Amino acid sequence: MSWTVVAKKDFRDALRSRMLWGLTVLFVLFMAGIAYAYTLFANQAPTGDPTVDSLGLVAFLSSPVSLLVPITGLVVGHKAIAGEVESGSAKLLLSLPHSRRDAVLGKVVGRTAVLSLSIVVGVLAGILVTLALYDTVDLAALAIFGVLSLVLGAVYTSIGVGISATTRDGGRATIAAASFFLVIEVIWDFVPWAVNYLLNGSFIPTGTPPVWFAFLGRIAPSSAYSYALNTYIPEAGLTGGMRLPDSILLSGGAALVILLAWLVLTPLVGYLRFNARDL
Amino acid sequence: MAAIELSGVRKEFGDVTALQGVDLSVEEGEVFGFLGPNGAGKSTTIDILLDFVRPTAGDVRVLGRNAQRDSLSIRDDIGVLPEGFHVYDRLTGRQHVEFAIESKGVDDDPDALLERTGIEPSARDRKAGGYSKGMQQRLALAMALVGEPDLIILDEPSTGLDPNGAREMRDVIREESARGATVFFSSHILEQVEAVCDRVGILRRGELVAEDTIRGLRENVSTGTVLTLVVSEVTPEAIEAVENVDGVSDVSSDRDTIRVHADNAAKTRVLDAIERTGVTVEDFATEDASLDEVFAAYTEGDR
Repeated sequence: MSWTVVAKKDFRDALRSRMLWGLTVLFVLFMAGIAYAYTLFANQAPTGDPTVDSLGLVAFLSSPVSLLVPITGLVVGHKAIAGEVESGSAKLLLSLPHSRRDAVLGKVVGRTAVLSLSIVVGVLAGILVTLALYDTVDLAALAIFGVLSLVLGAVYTSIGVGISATTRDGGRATIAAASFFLVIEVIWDFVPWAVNYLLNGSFIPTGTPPVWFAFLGRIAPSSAYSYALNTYIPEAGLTGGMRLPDSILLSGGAALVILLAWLVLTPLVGYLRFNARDL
Repeated sequence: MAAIELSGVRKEFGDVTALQGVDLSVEEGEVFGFLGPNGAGKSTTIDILLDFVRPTAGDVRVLGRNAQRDSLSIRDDIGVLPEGFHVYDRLTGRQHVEFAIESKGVDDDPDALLERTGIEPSARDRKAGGYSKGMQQRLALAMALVGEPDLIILDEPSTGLDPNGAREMRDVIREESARGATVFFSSHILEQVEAVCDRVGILRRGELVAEDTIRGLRENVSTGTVLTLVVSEVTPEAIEAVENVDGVSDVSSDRDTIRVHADNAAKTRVLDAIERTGVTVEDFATEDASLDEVFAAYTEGDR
């Protein structure tokens, strides 16, 4: 269980850095700020319905959260191993009885704890605003939203640590993390279209899109997060009226499995690279 | 059982060969000095013992266990002061030692360890990032002592230490040895290890060129003698005469003394040669080659 010692040390280290406090302030301002801004927005909604509803807030928040959480997760994670190897503190760590596996696992857990704490405090601040200012508050929906956001944060912290374990150069880790984000969260959006173009000669499928098309569209962690939100808080009406075929691949469970796969596989790949090379 | 056993260890980094077939054996309970100039491969060897680096070929055993396969259990029973390490800037000195204690699952007293390595109580709760290099070295030594390890590996332990600190480091090495621990430490300065080592190994360009006691090293090296002669007058003729004596390798002089590096056997011939030029030798002394010269004989030139 030596990873628990590594995780604890890493968390302690973060407590004393400005990272934890900076992230917490960021998430509090972000969640509470948007929760407040949404009241102004809902009052002027063109629907003419002046009720301020927390379900609407979830829909309103989901898109910026699926951008902010991945970026902060990568920032928190991407120097975890590479930074230690580059500076030489990994020599202190690994001359103690910690396997490289426990070093990676401990870092994943320690850094995830840091980000999670910030997200939890931020979500709680948001909930306080809704309790004070909103007409209706669906606490269960907000709780689901909070939990899924934590999962997304854990996924991206793990991806960051996994990337970090593949190199001994902090600068290269930064480039790799940015490239990952660009490829998976931006460029990947075009992949289903490109495949459809190759198969059918048009970018967008006519009629109900095929299962593979919709499935490819939720491979990226933030897409899987959005679809999971949509499945578990259907009242929020996140994806509008897009008709989809019925398939287990497109279920909320499948979206969770995708998130889980990222959570486990990227640190695993990073660990295998880390374990195979000289320090 | 040998505490450390290397046989035929090679390590290549790309097309650079850092170690070319090193055989080395360190017995349990001994204090072993691992010497060599910078870049000879000392740290690579130590990195292999710790499984930071994997050998290209050869067999490495630490405390009788396989250094790669059993690295975790080995690291439970050894203490390490690595070279080129970096502290966790934001953690205090005490937290570093506590981390080592928790990592090894023992219940040592952090203050006792910090006391032994000379970290003042007032410094123990300060962030280690603000420590001087010498204090960081003392901190890492305290971490290395956690859990009464059977084997202590110190890579260039005197780095950043003032003479006083280096002496305290040697005291700790002696104490650990007296407790029964094996101590293996590297240095690029022979003089530092002379006082504490039972045996030394000298590494040169990735090859072990000597493995012996200090006395044995001295005897094996024919660095000869240094003759210091006080003369009535230093004349060019006298200097030239000395230079022409068989077995003389180096001559230097100042106002009234001539210093001569020579084989032991050449001593009388040097005296005769000087006197023949009409210069009187008023006094002379001989001394053994210094450890520096012994070390240089192993690590320089074309041996």
